[in-house]
Amino acid sequence: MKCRAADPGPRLASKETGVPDQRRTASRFTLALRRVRDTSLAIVAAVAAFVAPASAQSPDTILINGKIVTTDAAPAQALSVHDGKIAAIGSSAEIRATASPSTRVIDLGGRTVIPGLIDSHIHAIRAGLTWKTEVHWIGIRTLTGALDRLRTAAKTMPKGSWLIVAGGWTPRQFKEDRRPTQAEIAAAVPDHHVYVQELYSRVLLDPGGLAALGVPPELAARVETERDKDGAPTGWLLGDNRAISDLFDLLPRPDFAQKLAGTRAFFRALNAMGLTGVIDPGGYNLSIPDYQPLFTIWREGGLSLRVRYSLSAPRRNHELEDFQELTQVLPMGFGDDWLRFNGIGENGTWGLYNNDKPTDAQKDQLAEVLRWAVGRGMTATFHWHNDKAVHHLLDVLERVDRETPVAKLRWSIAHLNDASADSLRRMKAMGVGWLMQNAFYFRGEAFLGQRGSEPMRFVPPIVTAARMGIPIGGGTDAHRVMGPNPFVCLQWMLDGKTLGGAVMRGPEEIPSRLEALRIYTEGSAWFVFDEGSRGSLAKGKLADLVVLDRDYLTVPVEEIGGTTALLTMVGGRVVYAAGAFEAYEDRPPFR
Amino acid sequence: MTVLMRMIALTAGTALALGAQAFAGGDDYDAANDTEGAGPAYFGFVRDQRGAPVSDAQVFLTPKSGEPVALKTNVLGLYRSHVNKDVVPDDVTISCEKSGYKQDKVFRRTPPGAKDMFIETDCTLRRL
Repeated sequence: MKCRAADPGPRLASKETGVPDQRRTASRFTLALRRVRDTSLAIVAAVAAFVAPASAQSPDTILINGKIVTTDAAPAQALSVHDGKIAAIGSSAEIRATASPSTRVIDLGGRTVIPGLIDSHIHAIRAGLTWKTEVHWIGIRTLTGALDRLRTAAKTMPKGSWLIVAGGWTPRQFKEDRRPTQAEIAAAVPDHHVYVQELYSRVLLDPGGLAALGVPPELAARVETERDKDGAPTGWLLGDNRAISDLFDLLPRPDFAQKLAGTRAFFRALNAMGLTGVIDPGGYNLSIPDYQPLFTIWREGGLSLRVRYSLSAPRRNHELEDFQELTQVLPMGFGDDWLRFNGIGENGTWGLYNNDKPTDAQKDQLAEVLRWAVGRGMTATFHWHNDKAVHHLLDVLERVDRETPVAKLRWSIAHLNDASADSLRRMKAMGVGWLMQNAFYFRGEAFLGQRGSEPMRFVPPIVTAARMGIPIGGGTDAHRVMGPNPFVCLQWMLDGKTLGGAVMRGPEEIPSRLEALRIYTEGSAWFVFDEGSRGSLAKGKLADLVVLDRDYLTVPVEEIGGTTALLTMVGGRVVYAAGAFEAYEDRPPFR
Repeated sequence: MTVLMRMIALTAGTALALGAQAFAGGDDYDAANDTEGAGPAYFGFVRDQRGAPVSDAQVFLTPKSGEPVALKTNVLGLYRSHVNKDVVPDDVTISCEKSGYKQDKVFRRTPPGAKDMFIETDCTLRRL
């Protein structure tokens, strides 16, 4: 409106087109009318110019009558959102006063609102590819229920096709407290092939499954057949991480449409758990073309959470060559607020991936890759599973750090559940952060069997690392070695208990609820250079938040794991809503 | 199976288990690494029927031949010890007791025949 009123277009147009200027022949009356018209338009324009900015300041959405958890102040009652960011936080009356008639008002009814959770180490891209074509046992509490899941899936899958459980469970979660047998899965779904993977250590196949998979001799030599005490095969195959991953690769893969649908569904499932962001570290069974569904959804504006991803080395002994090739058109930080490239890892080089005894040549190989990464300002994240051998990795990092300090690149080590004070000190000295997950929720007892109980009071050393000032991100490493639920992880951070009920951590290493929450929000955001824009509820930050079904700050600790999201907002858009909030859910595109 | 055969099987199993660990990484933490000299580590929890840990419970690791090993659970209900490296884990019976309780059930989590150096067995006590 403002532009049109001031626009001299018609007169200029007449000159340009050679039409005689009508003003020369216009009557005084006509001129007077035109003056009135122009004056009126100018007034309208002025009013519009005055009103427009005021309207732009009114919030798009306000959330009132709640408990807004801020990590540096007492909880507030309300907040407002404008243009995807938090515009203000205050009392319900204060925030309501900023609303205009067009503002969406969400009455929280006393519910607690926390910053959107960010899983700092989750294989979300890979999980999404197969989410719709797998059978999930995550969180199921009985083996009978797990077998029922297979039966249900079999009803919708063609006979002879594969029913795949790709991990995310442990026998301890079942009331029966044991693994399924081959006879049980065969009885449950006699007309289908079945692949049940437990962590990265074993796989159960149906009686005809091994032949149907077509395991090549080279892989068969790396897999052990479990036998019962009479020497008969049990149907379970045992192997290391790589062998189990190679077995998985023999399974039929979903088509592109299934991958798209799976990715959307998985991200939505994460939204329902309160996640607004993930940091994906690549890893096994994820090829470069597998990123296409993610990119497609991003292009459509359909991402319902923010994704940061790094690239793991695709080919053994071609690591540097591959990284150089792939990043020619993918510089560090490339992307936007929704999807952004975040360097290399968790597999920097295969020689230092799940290898406790790397050779000097393998360490040199990683150093070469890291020098290249430093030269391109890249962050890097490293999978390392134990403290006893992490000195190999730290030696390489320190070698590179001495040449060029890496602190500003925010490198990180993932897992390292039993990190020693010495390892933490070395990380701190380089500015290397720690990505911590709840692996011991599933595997704590196995750790006790290996080490005995004395060291367990300090694993993982959450409080020690925090006091040392080491950046810590929270996460799960889902969905094969752990379920993706962040509240299960938060509860484990706060009670130190395994799924089997064993107390794994002493009070010395139990953080406060706010500290744990901060690790899962601001802490995670640090690793992708986002702590200034998200990870806490504060004016000017992205409106990434979660309305919870219970008060995280006050419910008994043992109830935290059961928390669900009632409403999840990312960038001011309600990407997920349930129950009384269901009507507020926005539809994609979200940007 | 003769004693010699058992020793061969155990040695082979040990080699496989250790080899797999070194290659696998995954769960290979800085173990006490006492299995090479002392044989498999037997560990687990003693709990009551409600699942609460029972501390100071007596646990017996009884091989088919030879002396049983007796030990006590700690505050978490955890026990961990060895018999000796020549004993096949499948030949070790585990039991638990404590005054005021009777043994309810013993549940070995590590599958029979497994070539595992860490044998996990839980024991449940019922209050009398």
